[in-house]
Amino acid sequence: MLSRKSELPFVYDSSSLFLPWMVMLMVFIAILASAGGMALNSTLHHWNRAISGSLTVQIPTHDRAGVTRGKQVQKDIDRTIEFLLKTPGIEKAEQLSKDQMRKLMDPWLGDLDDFSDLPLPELIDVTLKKDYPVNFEELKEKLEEIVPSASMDMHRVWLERLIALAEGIKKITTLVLLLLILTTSLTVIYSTRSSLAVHKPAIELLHMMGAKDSYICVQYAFRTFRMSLIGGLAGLALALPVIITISTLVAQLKGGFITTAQGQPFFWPVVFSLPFVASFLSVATAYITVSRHLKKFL
Amino acid sequence: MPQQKIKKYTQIASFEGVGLRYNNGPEVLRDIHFSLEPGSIHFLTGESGAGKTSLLSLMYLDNRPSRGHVRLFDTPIEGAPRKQLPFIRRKIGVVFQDFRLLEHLSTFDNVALPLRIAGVKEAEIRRHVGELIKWVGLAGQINSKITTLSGGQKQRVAIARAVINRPALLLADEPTGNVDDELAKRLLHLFIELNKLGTTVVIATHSEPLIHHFGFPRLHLEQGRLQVLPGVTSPFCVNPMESEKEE
Repeated sequence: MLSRKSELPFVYDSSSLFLPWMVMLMVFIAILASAGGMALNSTLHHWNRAISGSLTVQIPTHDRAGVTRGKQVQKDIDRTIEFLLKTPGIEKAEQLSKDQMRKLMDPWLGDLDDFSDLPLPELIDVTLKKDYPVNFEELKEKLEEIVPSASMDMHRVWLERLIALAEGIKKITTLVLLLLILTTSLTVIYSTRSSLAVHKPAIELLHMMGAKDSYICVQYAFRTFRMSLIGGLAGLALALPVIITISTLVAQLKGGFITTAQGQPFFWPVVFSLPFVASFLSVATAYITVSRHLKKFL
Repeated sequence: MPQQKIKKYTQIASFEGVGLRYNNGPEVLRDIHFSLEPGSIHFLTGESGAGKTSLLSLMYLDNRPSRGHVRLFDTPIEGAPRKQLPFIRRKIGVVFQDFRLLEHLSTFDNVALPLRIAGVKEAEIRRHVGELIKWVGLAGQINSKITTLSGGQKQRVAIARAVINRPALLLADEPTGNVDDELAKRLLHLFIELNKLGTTVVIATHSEPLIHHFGFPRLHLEQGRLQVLPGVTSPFCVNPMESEKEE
């Protein structure tokens, strides 16, 4: 199919030689933008799950001077749990076990068997009732009145801001993809129009011999498909090592705070289909451009 | 050549009060009235700039008349839907003055072009194109690129391309301008052969020896106006009287 002989001398058509390069660049950026968008989506899902229905209360095991607070710690924990369980909207409040703490600290401290020497606070994991509005500021103030050493982790607040930022970036990614589609289409239109001008005598000849518009359009479609596919596959070849490198770097972060896009079920089909999507987009654009041009002929 | 049947038409071409001007310029053709009967053969004569190429361009549907009515193969062109025009064009073979060959293709592919456009099968194309190229004396150049051929050879390729489809109407614009007298006569004999098979032929030429030798009736243009002149009795003239009927 790709070697179909063309009656139009595209081989001398230097005006269109930049098309594969443009498509290569577009597909490269589109793959990175899609990977970024899908990674963001996955991370957002993860973050949304993290903040929905839970918060953490810390009880320090050492005072500010670094002296251990001994039995006072457990008393504070018990009072905090008692207070929280009485508060409307709170379903569960449990102290994290040593094992859970070890798992939590693993990304930062590694595989430490015993970290009792470290001045780590005790943590109380609080589960909120679903769809029950809780005033966190008020809850924080009341808790600090009853147990002055307790501090409520307000990560929900900054995570919400981070989610808003990520949502914004996601919208920008979508916009980038739309711009890429627009730029690719404009590039194909420009390249096709230049080619139509270069091959005007040959096109007129085919037309005069009784070639239907579709006969000429198909020749342009094949030419555009061949060039876009070459460019698209080159873009894919360039993007793959970049994605793999970024994924490897992200995976090293551990803890799952940022997730990669590879885990998404449609990630690889999307990545591998992009050169073909770009080629079909180019072919459709070229076909329509030539068809509209030929309509001017008698 | 593929044995394409030529349908019977009342008239191959009919021009009634046709005028042609390019953009807002002066009329290059004025009040053209004539008709081409099926199976006729005519010379189209006139000085340079008289409008021969413009008249031919109206006949091969490259231009629309500024006024008047053109009918080709009994179809009024002004009313014909655009989709129908390619099928009308496929019935017309044209030999252009400047050949208009596709230089990146071989002799074979240039001659095969009208058949490929018409969707003829490749096996049939190979058979007919090979035969015709041999007949015009270019068997040795069948796979040569056009750029390697001489002017005369290019002209023969252009003629072969125009007749390969056995058109119902053959229009030739100075088809013998680049060949010697002997070859010119041989090429004209090819047109006569086609004419005998039913093709209507119009040959634009300046060559007085050819006009006199063959004696076909003439469509003579002078300052954009057309006169139909009778042919002289000649063994080559199929039906010299028909132009007189038109007058």
